[in-house]
Amino acid sequence: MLGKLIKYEMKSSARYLLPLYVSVLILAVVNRLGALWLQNMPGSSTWEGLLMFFYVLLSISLFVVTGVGILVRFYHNLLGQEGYLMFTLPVSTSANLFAKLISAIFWIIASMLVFFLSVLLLTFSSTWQISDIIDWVSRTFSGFELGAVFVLLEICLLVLLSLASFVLLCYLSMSIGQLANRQKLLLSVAAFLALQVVISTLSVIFLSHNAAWLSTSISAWIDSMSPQAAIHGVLLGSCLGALVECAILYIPCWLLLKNKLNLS
Amino acid sequence: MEQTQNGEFTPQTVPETAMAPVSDNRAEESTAAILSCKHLVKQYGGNPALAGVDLDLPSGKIIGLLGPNGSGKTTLLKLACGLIPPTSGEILIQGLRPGIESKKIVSFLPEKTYLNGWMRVNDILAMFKDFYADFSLETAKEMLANLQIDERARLKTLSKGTQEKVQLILVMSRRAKLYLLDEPIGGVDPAARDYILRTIIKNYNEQSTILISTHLISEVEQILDQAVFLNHGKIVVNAPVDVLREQSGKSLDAMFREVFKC
Repeated sequence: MLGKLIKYEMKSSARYLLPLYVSVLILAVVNRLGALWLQNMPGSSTWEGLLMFFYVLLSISLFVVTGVGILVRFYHNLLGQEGYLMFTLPVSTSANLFAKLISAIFWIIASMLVFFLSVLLLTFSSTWQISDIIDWVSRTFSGFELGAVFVLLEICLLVLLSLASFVLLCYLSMSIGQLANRQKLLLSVAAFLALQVVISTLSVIFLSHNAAWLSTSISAWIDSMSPQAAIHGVLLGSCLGALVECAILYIPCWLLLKNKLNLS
Repeated sequence: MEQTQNGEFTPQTVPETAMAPVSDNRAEESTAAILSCKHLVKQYGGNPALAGVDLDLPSGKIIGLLGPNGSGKTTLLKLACGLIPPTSGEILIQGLRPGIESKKIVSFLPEKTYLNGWMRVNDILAMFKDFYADFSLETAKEMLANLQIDERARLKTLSKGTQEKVQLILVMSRRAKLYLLDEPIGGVDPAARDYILRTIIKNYNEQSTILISTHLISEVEQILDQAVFLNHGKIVVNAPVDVLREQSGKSLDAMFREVFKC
């Protein structure tokens, strides 16, 4: 059932995100072609400037629409009237939550990749060859040892978990906000700020009480390992920390949706 | 049914035969009950929406859940379809606590419109087919055609009344054991009401129970087998409609107006 929920999540977001992503890529190509064609033409800088302005505007909206879309989708589909359908489907609350989370992370990463690709297209040089790119990639990775590939994977995992924890923080804020009978959105924003303060305060308290112990034990731990192993250790430790943060944010969110759903 | 001197009915004057009598033989009926509530309590911030409901509803009946605003009707339906948990007590659907398994046999029509506006009618049909094994696409398409609703229309472009019809079609096209309908005819025109009531009767079978929560008692009275009156979160009447009519000599609608006279 999780697969089916994700399918409908993807369909729902794809209908407005895909056209936006394609527009960004097309505008990047138009900018590049415009720069080539308009070269040395009178008044070319005005046109180039205008094209670049639209590209920057669309690139910003790429991230804004993706982010806002993720929040609005959760708010309307689970906490709004559509929740009457979603929470009476024969699926678990966690399946509903995971479908939203997985879809959200997918679109955030997709927006980053689209932006990266658009920058490549924008800076595309006619002297570039596809073979050059393949050469560059193979040269870059051939120098890598297996350990370095693992470092790359660990960094990707850390990025994924950090994204998940931020999305879950937003979901938890909205799950708290929906408890109110009025001004749910306002309470959601207040809950988000309050959670940020709580997390920061707890981190500061934890670090201030354990700073000395942490620094000595971590440095001793790192010293006992080879530099490569130390990098793995730090990355995997950070992944574990992000995973714990995800769990801490997920559990109350799940409990609120399961036991305190307050559909309008 | 007993009356006061001026001919009025009040919850206190409802005879014992009609006063939630099921508790006496609950042990016998519990195995057959499609919906069973035991000392069911639901509070919102200390305010009781349901204050100790004991109820066993049998299979194969069309039952009216009747009561004034704020009497706890919607809360009872929300509890039965697993949208909210009880504060205390128990609610069982064919012996199952509300959860994934009970949701497979319960078809719920909320008062609110829950359709995804961006979907087309045929998208939402496909979604129901995807999630509910008991959903009949043929039945749904037939009902849509009868009501001349375009399958390719986007849901957000339909009028509120048409959206409600689509929602009812989705709910009644399932072969569920228990249908929970919250104000199914509240937002549609009188002509459509007749069609909807006929649809409810047509799609109902002896293995399933339909629980209809409504204010429009005179409209649904003709199709009800049993009536449950709820007031301040408690059941004040639970009896077959024929018995109530016979004892009171009045229609269910007239009786409701007297029991809940403001």
